[in-house]
Amino acid sequence: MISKAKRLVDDSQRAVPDNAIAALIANTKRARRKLSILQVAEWIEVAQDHLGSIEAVSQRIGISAEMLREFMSVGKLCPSVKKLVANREVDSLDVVYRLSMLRPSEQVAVAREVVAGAVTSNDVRFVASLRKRAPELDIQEVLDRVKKSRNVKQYITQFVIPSGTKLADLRERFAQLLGDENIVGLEAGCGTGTLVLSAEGMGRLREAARSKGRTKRVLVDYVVKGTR
Amino acid sequence: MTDLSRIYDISIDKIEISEHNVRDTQPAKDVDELAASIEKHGLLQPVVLLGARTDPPPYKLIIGSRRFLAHRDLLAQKDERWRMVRAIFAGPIDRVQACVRSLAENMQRVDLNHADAAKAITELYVHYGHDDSRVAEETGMSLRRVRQYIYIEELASGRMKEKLRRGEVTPADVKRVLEAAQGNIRKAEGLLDLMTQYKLTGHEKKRVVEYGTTHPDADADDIVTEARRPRVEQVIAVSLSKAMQAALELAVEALSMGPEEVAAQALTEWLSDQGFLG
Repeated sequence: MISKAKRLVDDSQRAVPDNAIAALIANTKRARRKLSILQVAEWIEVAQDHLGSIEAVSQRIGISAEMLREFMSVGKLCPSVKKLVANREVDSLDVVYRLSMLRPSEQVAVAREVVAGAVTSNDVRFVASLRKRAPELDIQEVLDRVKKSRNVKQYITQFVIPSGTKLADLRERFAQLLGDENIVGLEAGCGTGTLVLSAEGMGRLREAARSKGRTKRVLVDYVVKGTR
Repeated sequence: MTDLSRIYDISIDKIEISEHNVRDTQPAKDVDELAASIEKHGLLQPVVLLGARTDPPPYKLIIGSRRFLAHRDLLAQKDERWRMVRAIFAGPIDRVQACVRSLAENMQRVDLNHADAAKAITELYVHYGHDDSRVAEETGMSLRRVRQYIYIEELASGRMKEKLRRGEVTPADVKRVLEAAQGNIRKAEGLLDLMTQYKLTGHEKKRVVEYGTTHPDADADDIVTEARRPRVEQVIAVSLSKAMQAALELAVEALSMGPEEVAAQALTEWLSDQGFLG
């Protein structure tokens, strides 16, 4: 049962089977859903009441029963995580399905990281899988294990160096903008420069570009020319 | 002649599960949930029995073992409403037809234990002259999934299959170690043992395949040691038009992948199609 206390779909809408079918086709067969996963799950429940089974709903709308069950897994989330799904702060079906495999307190810990952007849907998949195989570990330990096992990302940007530009000057300009500790490397050759940034450095570059209303590429060119 | 559309009410004590039913391991998985649904809605989809109504009982059940077990649980709660089971008769079908129907039905619902599905799929594969497309067509499963079962069934050792049967490892893990070991079955077994021992994360498992395939001389210990060490991944910034950015965002949402993963996959496929990637 998705929610006994508060129904998102009112009784008059529930009474018409075609409403459920239309809502499901519009929200499961398109890349962009208008409804939250919680709302889709409630419509699946309405369609199931009319048609009798998940399989019948699956055949009627042409979506696999497996996918419909993934939507229904939102019913296994604890209230605070359901709220995040309702507000669409957690809006990935894969994430919701993986969270539903965890205990309520664990769901909260992982969902918090999802909302903060600290873990991806891939990480959540690996957390759920590791949780199952290592029940002795605390959920925070599982999260840390998964996060620490990720590859270390470095971001490379290439640009044309105006003649007469000194590499040391260039590094100083980038360091002022992005922080020296975030510059992994800066090399020059054949009139082309290669800047290697840590994830933090790339984040700062993104932020700086956004605040100046430019693309990252344009901002880098401005820094290189010394006109930022 | 058997009328497949005719539904009979058959007493539960006259039914037993056929040996042709492919669900052999953990048939009672999630039966509680199904029993609750049957209690609420009734048994909407009849079970399927072999032969005809006029045959002498017990009737052999080929499809619907979980529904049958849920009925039995409900009856055990002293509720006589559940003594009769809605059923249809499939007629005198042979072993292969029974296997196809049971498999097709079960794969659409709660996942079968890997060993049960692999056994049935391999039997069909052999029966259809090693035509995996025919198996996919007959069972309604995707060709990719059929191939994964056959791949594991043909290449994995008995020890690896036993771990699968006990649920200690997943089919994806077995496929990974077989790829990483590149035909060396001892190495694959060693990798699977180490994967279980160290409880590798998904990121680490990915690196087992990457390192194993690029270092064919490395032994299982070396591969796992390397896989447990995060590697530096360099991301090249590429300028995208607004239309491409919007398309990428769509793909990210639809596929639940990161933008870099989508872009990397698209690039890999393009390079491979053009013959630049072996």
